[in-house]
Amino acid sequence: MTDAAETGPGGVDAGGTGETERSPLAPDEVAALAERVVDNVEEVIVGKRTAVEHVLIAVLARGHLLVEDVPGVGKTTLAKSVSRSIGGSFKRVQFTPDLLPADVTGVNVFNQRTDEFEFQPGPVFANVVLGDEINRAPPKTQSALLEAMEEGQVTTDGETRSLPDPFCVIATQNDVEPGQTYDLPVAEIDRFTKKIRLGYPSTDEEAEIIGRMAGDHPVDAVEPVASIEEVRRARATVAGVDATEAVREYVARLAAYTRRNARLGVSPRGSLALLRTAQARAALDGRGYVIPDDVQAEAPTVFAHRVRADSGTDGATVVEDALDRTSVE
Amino acid sequence: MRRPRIGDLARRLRSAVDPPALGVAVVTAAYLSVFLSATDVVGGTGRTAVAVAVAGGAGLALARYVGERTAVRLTAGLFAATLAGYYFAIPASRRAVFSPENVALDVVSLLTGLSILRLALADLWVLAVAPVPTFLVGYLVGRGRQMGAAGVAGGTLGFLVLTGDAGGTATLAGVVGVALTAGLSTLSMPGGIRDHGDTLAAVLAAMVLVSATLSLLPAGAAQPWALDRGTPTLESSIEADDEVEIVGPTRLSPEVRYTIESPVAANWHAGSYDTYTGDGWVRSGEQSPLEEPLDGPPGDATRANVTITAEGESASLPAPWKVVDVRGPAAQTARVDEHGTLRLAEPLGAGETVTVESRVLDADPDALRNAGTDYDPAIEDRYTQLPASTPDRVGERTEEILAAADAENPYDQAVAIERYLREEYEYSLTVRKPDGDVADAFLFEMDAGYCVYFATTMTAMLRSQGVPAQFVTGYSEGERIGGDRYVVRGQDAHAWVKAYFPGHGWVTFDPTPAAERGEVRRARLTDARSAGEPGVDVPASEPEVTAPSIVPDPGASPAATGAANGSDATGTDADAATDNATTGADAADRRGTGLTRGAVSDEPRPGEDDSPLPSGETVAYWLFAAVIGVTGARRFGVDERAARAARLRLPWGGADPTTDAKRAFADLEYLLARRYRERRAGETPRAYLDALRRRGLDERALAVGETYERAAYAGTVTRAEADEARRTVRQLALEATPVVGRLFD
Repeated sequence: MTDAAETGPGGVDAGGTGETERSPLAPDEVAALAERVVDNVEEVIVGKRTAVEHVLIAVLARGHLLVEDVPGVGKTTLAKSVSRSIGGSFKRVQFTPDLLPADVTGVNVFNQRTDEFEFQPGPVFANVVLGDEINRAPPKTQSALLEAMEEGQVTTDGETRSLPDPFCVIATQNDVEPGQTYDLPVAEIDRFTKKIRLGYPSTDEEAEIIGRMAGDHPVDAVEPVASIEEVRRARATVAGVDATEAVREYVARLAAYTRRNARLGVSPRGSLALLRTAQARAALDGRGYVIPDDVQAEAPTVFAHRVRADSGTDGATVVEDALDRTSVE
Repeated sequence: MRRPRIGDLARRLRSAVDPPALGVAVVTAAYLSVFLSATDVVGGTGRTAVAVAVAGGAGLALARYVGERTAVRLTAGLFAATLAGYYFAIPASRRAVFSPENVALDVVSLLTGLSILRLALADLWVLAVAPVPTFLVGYLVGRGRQMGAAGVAGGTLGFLVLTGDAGGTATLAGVVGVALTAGLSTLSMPGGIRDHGDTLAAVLAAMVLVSATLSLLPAGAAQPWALDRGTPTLESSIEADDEVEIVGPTRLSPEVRYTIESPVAANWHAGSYDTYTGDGWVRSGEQSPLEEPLDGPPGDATRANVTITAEGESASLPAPWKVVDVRGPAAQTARVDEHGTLRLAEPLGAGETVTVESRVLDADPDALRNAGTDYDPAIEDRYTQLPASTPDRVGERTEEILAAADAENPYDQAVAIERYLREEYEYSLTVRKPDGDVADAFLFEMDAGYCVYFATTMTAMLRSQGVPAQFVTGYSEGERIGGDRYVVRGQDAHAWVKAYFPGHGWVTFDPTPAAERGEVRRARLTDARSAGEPGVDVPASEPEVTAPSIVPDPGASPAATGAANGSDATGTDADAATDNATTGADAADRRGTGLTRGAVSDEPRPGEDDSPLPSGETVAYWLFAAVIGVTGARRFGVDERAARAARLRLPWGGADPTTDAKRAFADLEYLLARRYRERRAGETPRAYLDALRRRGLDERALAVGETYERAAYAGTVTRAEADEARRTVRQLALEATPVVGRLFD
């Protein structure tokens, strides 16, 4: 069922204009922006500072985020509050076994008054789209969303429509009911730039959370601390962050390590994703160049879900080993 | 058969330049160097080198097309063909010697130390034999069978070791080459050489060093190569079977060897040598049984019956040249060699007596001066041989001497050379053997020597002028004990020269300064007598019975005695007087205008032979020691540590700022690794410094890390920042070494 809730100030049709004309922010401005967003979100969500950073990095690196966790740990709240903080539109799709592709992308509806078909945009037309429990939908519907993620556009009845810019999908996946889910195939999982887990809050944090949530849900009170335009300029900054050959080689060596030491290693798309997120991480740190530390900070969330490890170990361990054993210049 | 494609060729080439092929190349070079040093002496180096190169190339080329069985047959065929070619190249007259038992004997004697130089037509023999193993080596290398190739090359070298032609260095090179091949073949897997190459280098260097300094075989062929071999007696060094190896210092044995009863006083001839190797003499050719009396010299000759009594076991038969017949038990086994020397198949026992008949040449100087130069080609060919490597300056110096003495015919030339050597050089038994050509070294670098040096040099000088000459060994006349009897002692062992004159025969010349030699011998004998050494006297020679001193050698210059009785020209105490007396104004004149050594050229006379420069062997010895040292140091990373430690503390010249900043950080890392711990493989510089900061890292190091980060990952480091980083690191290093630090602050 589609729940097209809370259209943010950014509007539905914040179509992508060319990035080239936009003047990038300075790296420290990006850092300041991120700081503002993180602080703002922290007022709503307790103890999820790194998660917020991950979301921001996914947005800035033109990527998408997969959140895997048990229900009720604040996935929706996180997505919504980040979206509001950056002044973007937000929509949520609850994936269910009977959800159809059109429910995601939108449908043409015949308007009797104008005697024309009118396109009713689906929930995918937003700056931040939360695909909740994506693994409960049938593969066909999943792939409709994935196509949108990859192409940045949606095709209905032969007509192609661009999605807003920035466009970021935050999909959640729960692993508690494996029997009733359609696990995402490897090829699709590869399209998510990062995969994170939120995890349970600590006891103190939880006490604070339930204290805050007891009254009004504070997420509704989140005010934007940045504009969509600033985010676009920050993305231009990220794209321009320097990655020297040493860093690129380091990324390639890490990928090669996973290929040598797992059943299925990281694809070149994965390497590219790692470099982009490392660029975003560098910008978040106020730097105009990537250092290996950025790569190391990003590798676990970018690489781990792309690795099919040999039995007896998992992707996260392989990536950890890769970081330990691949020499840094 | 497929046509070879470029790819095939390239692959074959690659397989041929396999690392193990390096070892094969070393062994091959070792045995080829032995072959080529032989042809250097006997001639034909150029054509042998071409034949060897063609054979090796053919083997390499055929490797692609020919199976191994066929290749072995081909090699056998090639060997048979070249040997047949050698056989038919030998003149028919000498071919008669090639009976099956003689060939078998030759093979045995080759394997037991007969130098290939002593074979008839040794140049052709080398030309026939050398390409065969080279073909097989080329073939096996082409097949990628490096160990097989090393085996064939090593076997060939082994043969040459048995013939005694391969010296210590060539043998060692061969052994090292085989080991290198084996080692590199074993290490041929990827990375093997990189990981274990230094071990191999150390092992090989140790092989060289150990073999150079130790010998498990006492007094065997494996003489330690870099050590003194002890001082041989003069006699032992020139009484060797068919080879005279010129040695360094020598000593005299005063023991009595022979008592000779002879109507003529002469140098007692024992052997003639034709082939000069640059550092020794070889007599080539076969021996044949003495079936009838030999011919005497072509010129007028005096007949003399000489009785020789051996006082100890003796292999040679010293008698006045030229012995034509022998009587007594030894006659049955007497043989004659190609130089006309009578040889004993079995040594004489102590006390055994042999009677020989000699024809001693009578010729006066004028007759010899007019003898002309119409030499028999066989004699000219054989006795004007010089190694191709003999320096030209030997001939040039000889020409200068002859021009100054105005000597135009071979006789005058021989006299001039003899006089020059006698007058310009001192007699000494304690000389160091020179490197390289002995004649050249004696002529230009040495001031003194003993008979072997004088005779070698004079023979080489005569040959350089195209005068057939031979190097002769035997004994000088010894102590005359009344009448026609002479006592010959070990210390009378001597070497001299004979030159050939058409129509007359071989005439003796003796370039050794006789007076000085006599004095040395007299002193040695007196010492031996006063020390009571045994075997110094026979009853008739004891000082109480005869004169207390040795009767001087008959005073006769070469001109005088050569003319009078064809005997040798040993000098006398009254050398100059007799010289003048016998050759008259002519000689006086010649002496007046005679060339002295200083006058020949302005080159400085080198000092004594104890030059301060180390010999080649010593240098090689230290080089190999250095190899062991260096590989050992590399094994344990000493060199890198030392370089690093020095660079850390000393100011160094800068490159571009980025490189400098990186180097500064590398140095910092090295410093921190010693102080704290090394940076782990997956640890970024920043993480490393952060981790160390918790252990009390100096804050200045963090700044260096930051500079490095910008240099390595942003490329935006300024000169000033890089210099600052360098200064910081150096400062930190100096603080880490208080003593040196104070020096540089």
